[in-house]
Amino acid sequence: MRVTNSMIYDRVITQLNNQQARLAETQEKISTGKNILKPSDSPDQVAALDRLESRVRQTERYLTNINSIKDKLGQQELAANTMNDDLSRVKELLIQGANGTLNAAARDALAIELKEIYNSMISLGNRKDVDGTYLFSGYVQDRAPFSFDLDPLNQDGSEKVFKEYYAGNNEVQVITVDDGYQLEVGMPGNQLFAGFSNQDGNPTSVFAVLKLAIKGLEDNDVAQVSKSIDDVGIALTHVNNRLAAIGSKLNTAETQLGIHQSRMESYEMTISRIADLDYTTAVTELKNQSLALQAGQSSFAQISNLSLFNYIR
Amino acid sequence: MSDLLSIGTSGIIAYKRSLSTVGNNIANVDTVGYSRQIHSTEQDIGSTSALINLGNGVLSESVRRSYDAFATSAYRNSNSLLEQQETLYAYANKLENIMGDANLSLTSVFDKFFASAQALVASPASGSARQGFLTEAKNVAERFKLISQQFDQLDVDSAEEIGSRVDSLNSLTKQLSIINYSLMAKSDVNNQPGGLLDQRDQLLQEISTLIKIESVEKANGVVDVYIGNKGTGLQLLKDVTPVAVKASISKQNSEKVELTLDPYGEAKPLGNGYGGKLAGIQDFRGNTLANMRSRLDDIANAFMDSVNGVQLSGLDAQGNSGKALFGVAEDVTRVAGHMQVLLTGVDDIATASPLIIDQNSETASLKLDSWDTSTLALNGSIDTNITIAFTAGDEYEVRDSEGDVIETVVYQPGDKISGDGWAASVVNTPSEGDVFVIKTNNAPKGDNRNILAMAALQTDREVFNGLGSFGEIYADVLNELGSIVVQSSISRDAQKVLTDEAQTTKDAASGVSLDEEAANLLRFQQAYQANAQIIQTSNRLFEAILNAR
Repeated sequence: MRVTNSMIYDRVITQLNNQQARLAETQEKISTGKNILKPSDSPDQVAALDRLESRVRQTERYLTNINSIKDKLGQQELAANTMNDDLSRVKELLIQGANGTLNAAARDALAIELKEIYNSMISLGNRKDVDGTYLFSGYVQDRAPFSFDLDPLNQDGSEKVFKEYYAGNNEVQVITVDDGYQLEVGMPGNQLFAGFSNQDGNPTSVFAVLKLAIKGLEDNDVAQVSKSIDDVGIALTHVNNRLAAIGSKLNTAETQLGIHQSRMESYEMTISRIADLDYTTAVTELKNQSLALQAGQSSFAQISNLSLFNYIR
Repeated sequence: MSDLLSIGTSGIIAYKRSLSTVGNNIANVDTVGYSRQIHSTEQDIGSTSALINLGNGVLSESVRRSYDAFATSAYRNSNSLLEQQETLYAYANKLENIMGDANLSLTSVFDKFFASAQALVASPASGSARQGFLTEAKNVAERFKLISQQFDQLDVDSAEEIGSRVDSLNSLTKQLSIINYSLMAKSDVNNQPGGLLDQRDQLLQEISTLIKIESVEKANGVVDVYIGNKGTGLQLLKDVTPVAVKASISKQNSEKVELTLDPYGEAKPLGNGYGGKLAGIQDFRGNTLANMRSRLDDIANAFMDSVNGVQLSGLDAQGNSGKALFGVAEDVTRVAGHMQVLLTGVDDIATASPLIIDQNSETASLKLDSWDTSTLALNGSIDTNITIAFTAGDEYEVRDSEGDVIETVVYQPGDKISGDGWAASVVNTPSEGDVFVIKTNNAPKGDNRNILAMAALQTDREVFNGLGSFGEIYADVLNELGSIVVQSSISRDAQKVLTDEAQTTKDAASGVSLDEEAANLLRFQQAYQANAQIIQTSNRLFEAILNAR
């Protein structure tokens, strides 16, 4: 076959161009530290990366959700703990009040402290979390669940139905913590402040129990005070049960947090394995490619020197 | 009469021509489209009637192009396909640069949208969470618009390129018709000037980069040109008459550019089936780009439908039934570029379920599984009050708001309980006396059940019939595009090898080798010198006779 000059030059130019393009690509990979620069570098890996990065963002969201659940549960736990302390104090006061040697004035003094505890219990029930949501109101968010004006007792001293002085409802928000897995955020007010029966077996509330105790002290009614001691005891047990329930929810949230954190690590490792450049291989490749380019250039220089014209004098 | 002087002279003349030809070859070593020329000689056989036949020297026969018609047309055809692949690859690459750009990713904007829905789940009553959700919804619409605009730009650019390529095609055909006119002066292609034929072939070569052609050469070197091959009957050039090609936007489909041959005469559609740059652009527009646009539209439609579906089934913060979040104008064909957020107020987001259940049971509870506000709100507003009262562990009564029993139903564990626009299931075991009242939700502000359903769309594979979630489907689209680029790069490389091969074959016949020319230079120089020696000898012989005494 005849080898013509344009063949030699065209071929050399094409080859040098190709080598230079490969070199430039390796160089770009090294300078960006990325193994995959565009979808066509590895279509399936790019799709896998896109999914993994999306999983990371979702997991980050789940972590945020869990932390917000933990915040809300933590605040409910705090409130329940305060209730526990307050009710224990109430019990102490009532035991003092049941002492037969005490006179009416002394019982009135005890009643004053109990009233303060009652009021602080109302504000406890009306607490909001950081984003302004009532903690113990269920779905009802346009008004506070409890009010100082609404008495849990009727005029004749009998107990009202809880709903008559509770503006919230019996709903609990659920928040997604994993694909298809949702956790309840604490409990509505009717479950913490009510939801138990007194010693007579009738449904009652913390507020009614307190109000009755206050009434007993004010009326100097030792029998009522003694009865209230037991009811406060029942309320304490109820609050402690609820505390345990909140605690176990917190545990679940904590476990889920751990699961997501270890998943996150594994996602990030996989992403790094796919996307990040193996520098040792890349640098070796770069050396090989520049060697090939140099060889191409020097062989071209030699071939282009070969011409019969050099020898015709 | 054969004499030494005229023989020598004929040699001098012939080899001077050979040397000129070699010189011309060397001078044109780098001229595009130049074919090596060969000066061929034949012997002058002289008088045949003489008893002793002495030759008369040498005659120039012709200067011909070294040319292989088959190799030239094979190269042309191969190059047409290569240009098609190159063009397709170049455009696919542009598309890849758009879609591969992390700043234009749909997945990340979907993720942010659903994250804002999750934030709203955590705080349905929070105004800032509601605002955040609307903002992210706008960002989704913006992202779709941004990608669509890039697609539109590619559409416009490629349509313009078709226009300018068609212009040069018409101009090249015209130039070729002028060459044909010049060629008509002679009747034998062998007598045609090599340069003119080279020009003709170069024009055919340039036309073939735009569109695949077959040329039919006549005895005098005039060519007729057909698009595709002769069998199509799509004649681009007939003797000296060029036929125009026109590019125009299709009346049926504004995204389609139609090519027509002889638009003002016997108009014939060209379709996309021929090689060259034009076919490459048409291929990209008709397949790759149109396909990617449809995929984007599919995602946009599925996204709007499912998000709107959830919105419509819920209650907004004011207790009104939800309205569509996204929308497009009626007459739009490509929805992705025209997505709009329709809701304006933060309270319009339907975070709540329309129903709520009052329950008295210590053991069991009734949980709403699904609801549909549009069914519940048939007569304008939602006014539901249905009581499910268990009269035994395995039987319940359905009562209306007046307390009248509508029906009595036998209950088995696991049975669903449903009414118009809602369905619920019993958790744990119900017992006698358990009463559940399903009624209108009067506290929608703190209810997150509907926005929970919205957030759950993120991983819902049913929106694409089980094929994947929004993010997964988009990743599939990226995968597909990457594969298209890889494939077109492979086809291009393969075609490049074939074309190089064809070019080598063509060059082997027509190209100039300087070494060969150098050798010929010496050869003809020596022949020239030897012929000069013959003249010298003839002179000496003549002198010998003159000096004879």
